[in-house]
Amino acid sequence: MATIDDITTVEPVDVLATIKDVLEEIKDMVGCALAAARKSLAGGALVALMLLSNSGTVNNRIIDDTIPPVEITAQTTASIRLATESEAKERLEERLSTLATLEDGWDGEAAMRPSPQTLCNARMLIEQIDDTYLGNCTLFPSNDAGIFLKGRLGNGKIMVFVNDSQMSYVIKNKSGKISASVPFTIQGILYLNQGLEQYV
Amino acid sequence: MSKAPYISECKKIDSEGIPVSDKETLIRLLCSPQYYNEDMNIVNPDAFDLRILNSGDYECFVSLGRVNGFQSQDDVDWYLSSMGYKIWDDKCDSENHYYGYGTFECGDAREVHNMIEIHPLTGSKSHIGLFYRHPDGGFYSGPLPKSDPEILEMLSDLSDLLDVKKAPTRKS
Repeated sequence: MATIDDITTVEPVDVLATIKDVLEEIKDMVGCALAAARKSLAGGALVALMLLSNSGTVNNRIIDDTIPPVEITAQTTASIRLATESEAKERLEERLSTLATLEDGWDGEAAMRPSPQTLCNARMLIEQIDDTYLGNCTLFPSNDAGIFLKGRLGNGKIMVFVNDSQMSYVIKNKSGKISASVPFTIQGILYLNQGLEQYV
Repeated sequence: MSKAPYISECKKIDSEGIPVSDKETLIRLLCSPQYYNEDMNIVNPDAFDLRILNSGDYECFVSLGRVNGFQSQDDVDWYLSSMGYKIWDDKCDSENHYYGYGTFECGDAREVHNMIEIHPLTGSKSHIGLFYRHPDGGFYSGPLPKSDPEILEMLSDLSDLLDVKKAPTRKS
């Protein structure tokens, strides 16, 4: 049976085939657990692998040696997304690292610095949004320990707010807008990506 | 819309003060480097949020400068240069220090959302207050509930109004 180490050491083109094999083996298991691993591959390409379960509500853990583990509840059909680092994402990752160094009082008054969970959520958000939407986006802290992602999208704009447990967003252009406030989950990010595809 | 702490009334509103016309130019000081991305010309929506002050008090209005309340452009420049350094002298080294300000017309802000109210303030001719009317009556007090998409959009649209300028060089 393939293991996580096997998945993360093969070339990208083989990862999907290996994942399918794993899903076939675990799909009938009760309370199956999913994991995502983040490893550097040969050539320096960074691959983030997310697995979503179709077996109801499960607890998933993201195994990452750079960020704290996060528990995610997924209720979606199986979906696999491979995300590669881009210039925009590298820039936003760097910006996120800067926000992580903020102290309370960054606004000159009693603003709270972004919480560790918020930073983790923001990183996940950056990883999962399609590169093409992030070229003109930036990150800002909010005074209540949250983080904004704000930017321009073609002839529209995007605004996302994340905190420890929640994500709210507004995507709009001249044709209209969509907005939502959802628990911060993979499902929520998928909805956001669908909204971006629809409005941009 | 979400509910958050509010006050039933604000005694700082000067009901007999000079009304703020829609055409009046207002100034929002960007007193932290975290309020503005200079490279991308994007303003942090937090620039229009209500803060918790070091005193523990919750702001019930966003303080805006009133260009008409200054005698001359020199007075405006002095105000901008002195305010920025006053806040950041002890907290940031000069290399990381950034402050600027943005201007916009009062009417444009009022059009963003019907919960926005702009009133003159008691004891001040140079500043006015931007208030957020609470659904239960009164005004919001302290940080707005940004998990509410309607409020998120409002703060974003307000911050997009700003025509940002670098504050003038500090005068000794």
